Amino acid sequence: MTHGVREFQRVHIRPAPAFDLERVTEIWQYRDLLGIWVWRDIRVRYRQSAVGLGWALIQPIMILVVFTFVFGKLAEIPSDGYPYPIFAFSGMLPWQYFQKAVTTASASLVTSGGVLTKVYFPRLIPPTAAVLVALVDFLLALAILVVLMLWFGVVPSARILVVPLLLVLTTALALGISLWIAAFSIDFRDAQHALPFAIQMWMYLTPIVYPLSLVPEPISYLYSLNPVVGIVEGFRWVILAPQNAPPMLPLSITTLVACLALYFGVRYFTRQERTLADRV
Amino acid sequence: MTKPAISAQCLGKRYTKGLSRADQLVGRGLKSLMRSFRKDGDDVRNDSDVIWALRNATFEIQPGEVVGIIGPNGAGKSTMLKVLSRITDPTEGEAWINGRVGSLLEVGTGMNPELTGRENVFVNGCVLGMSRGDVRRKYEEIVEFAGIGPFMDTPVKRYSTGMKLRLAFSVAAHLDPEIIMIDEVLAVGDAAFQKKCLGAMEEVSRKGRTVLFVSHNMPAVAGLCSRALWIDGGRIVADGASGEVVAEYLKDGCPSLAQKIWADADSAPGDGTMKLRAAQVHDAAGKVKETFDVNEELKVTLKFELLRGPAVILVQLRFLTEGGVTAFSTFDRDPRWADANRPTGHYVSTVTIPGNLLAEGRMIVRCLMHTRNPNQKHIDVENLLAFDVQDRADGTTARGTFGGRIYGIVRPRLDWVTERVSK
Repeated sequence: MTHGVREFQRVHIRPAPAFDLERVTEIWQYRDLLGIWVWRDIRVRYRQSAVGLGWALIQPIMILVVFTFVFGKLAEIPSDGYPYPIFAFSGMLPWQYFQKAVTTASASLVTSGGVLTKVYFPRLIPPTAAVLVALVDFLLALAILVVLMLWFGVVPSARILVVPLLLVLTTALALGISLWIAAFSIDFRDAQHALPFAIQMWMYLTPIVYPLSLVPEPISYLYSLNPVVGIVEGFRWVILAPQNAPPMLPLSITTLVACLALYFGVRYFTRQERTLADRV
Repeated sequence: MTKPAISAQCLGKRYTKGLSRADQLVGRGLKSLMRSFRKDGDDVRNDSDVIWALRNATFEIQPGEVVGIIGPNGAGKSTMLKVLSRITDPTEGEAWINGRVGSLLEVGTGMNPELTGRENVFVNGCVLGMSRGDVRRKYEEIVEFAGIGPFMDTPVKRYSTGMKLRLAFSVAAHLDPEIIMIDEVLAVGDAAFQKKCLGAMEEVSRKGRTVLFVSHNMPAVAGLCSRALWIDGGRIVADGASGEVVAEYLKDGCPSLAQKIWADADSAPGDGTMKLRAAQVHDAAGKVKETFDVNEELKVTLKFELLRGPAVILVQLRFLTEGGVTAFSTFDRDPRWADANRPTGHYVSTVTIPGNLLAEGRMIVRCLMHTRNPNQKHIDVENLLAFDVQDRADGTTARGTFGGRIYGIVRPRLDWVTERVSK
């Protein structure tokens, strides 16, 4: 009589309490499902398009080319003295990860709707898997960045060790926000429609195609309240390696917002998901 | 003392009808605003918007019990399974589950048409709760049970519906949890497949697993389950030995689809010449029922009005199976009225259908009424009434004690004579 990896369970079914930590720790028991979910999403995407996984590479390259031409050459936006392509890309890279993670994770409950009403598994899995899938894309784009850096003769310094930390920060921020939006969308479907627009505006309010130095002094403090600023500036600090200190103010804000978003996001989400089968 | 597999206390699930939360927020906001203007501050809550799909469900299921859950449609059976499977939360009460649960509310959950059969086995298996190691270990068995070996590396979108079903059920059949909850999954597929499913279920109960089986298939429930819970209107109406509960359930059908009354002549079907005012399916004693035993006599009574006369009327009832096949038609040939010119007025017609004629299943009744010379149709109600015919498989019917599938839209009990003619 095989029991598999999961141990004998004793489960308590009751109306939703304020915050059920068990719904989070359960993910460990379902870790195989999380892995398979990520694997499946990537596999399906690969199968569906002619270019397959190549799309994950083509997309960042195309963006790079267009941005360099439009913003770098035509608009002649300054880039703090660095070659525009690498300047823009170092900002675009984390942004693309953040944007894809938030967009797919917020919609993950809706896109997997059928399964959720037929079988029980921790509902945190679909959004978490979506974020991990975006992470895979990020790693592929990172490969392009490395090529770019070698091309432009930009040598990575010891700062590169900070990248995993930045990655954790971005993941926490993206996951927290997505969980909040996903939970909110269960009742208010409109949130899904407003999201792409909001993300688009958000991109312009982040120093991706232009440097932070372009934002005038008093406004720049307000501007830095945008948690993604910390992430983008952090990545720039690692990749372009300017002489100054790391951007502590934006990074502290990012860390604070990420922690709050993750805590309240998980809390709100685990509360809402318990009756989502009644509404989806 | 062993802990019960499932122990529920006062489980309840409430649904609020209609509006989504967003609309409700606005509605509630306005209501509270209005309330602040009202003089005596009375809180008028609208109770009709609330539905208790499940109320006060209390029971204990010991490990190894095979329990059937029966009841009319919409009674709360699926809600009960959903709450116990943790798919949705109860509104009140609580339950304790000891052991891993595998729910089969639908087969093939999580399968993706782009992936191959092999890949989908892993996806579906993990979704149902197996670990990757479990799936790997059981992979050969799963493929063999499904019987689609050579196609495992083809994308599922190329499979026929039958193949998809077999694969999905095969994965589910190898789940092997301590507690299994099944919701009418066996209602799909062809005869050979259903046989396989019933076989799998028997095997599972032999292994000592706890099974919760929601079904409309009374012979299966009486045959496979030792105990049955009858749920009606969200409450547990009966809980006991499956044979007894099933018998009680069959005796006491519920009148809803079995009766139609049009109090208001304007809304009644028909035209200026004839109007149908009421129709019911009932037993010999006159009790309106929705469920009948296969060997029970049943009657259909029609109340109608002839407004323009005198006229020769043709009253017809057609009995159809759920699949739309007409089992038979019957005409009112009562010698007093059949070809005679009837005067205007209200009429009541009753037809008796003998026991041991209809087969098991749901029958739909259609009513047509014509006037003759010239033939003109005045009433044609397609889904007028519906009722279920059940066979208890206790030996007194044509089915005997056989629990499998019997073909045919009628099931007469005929006389057979058999002699032994040689050694």
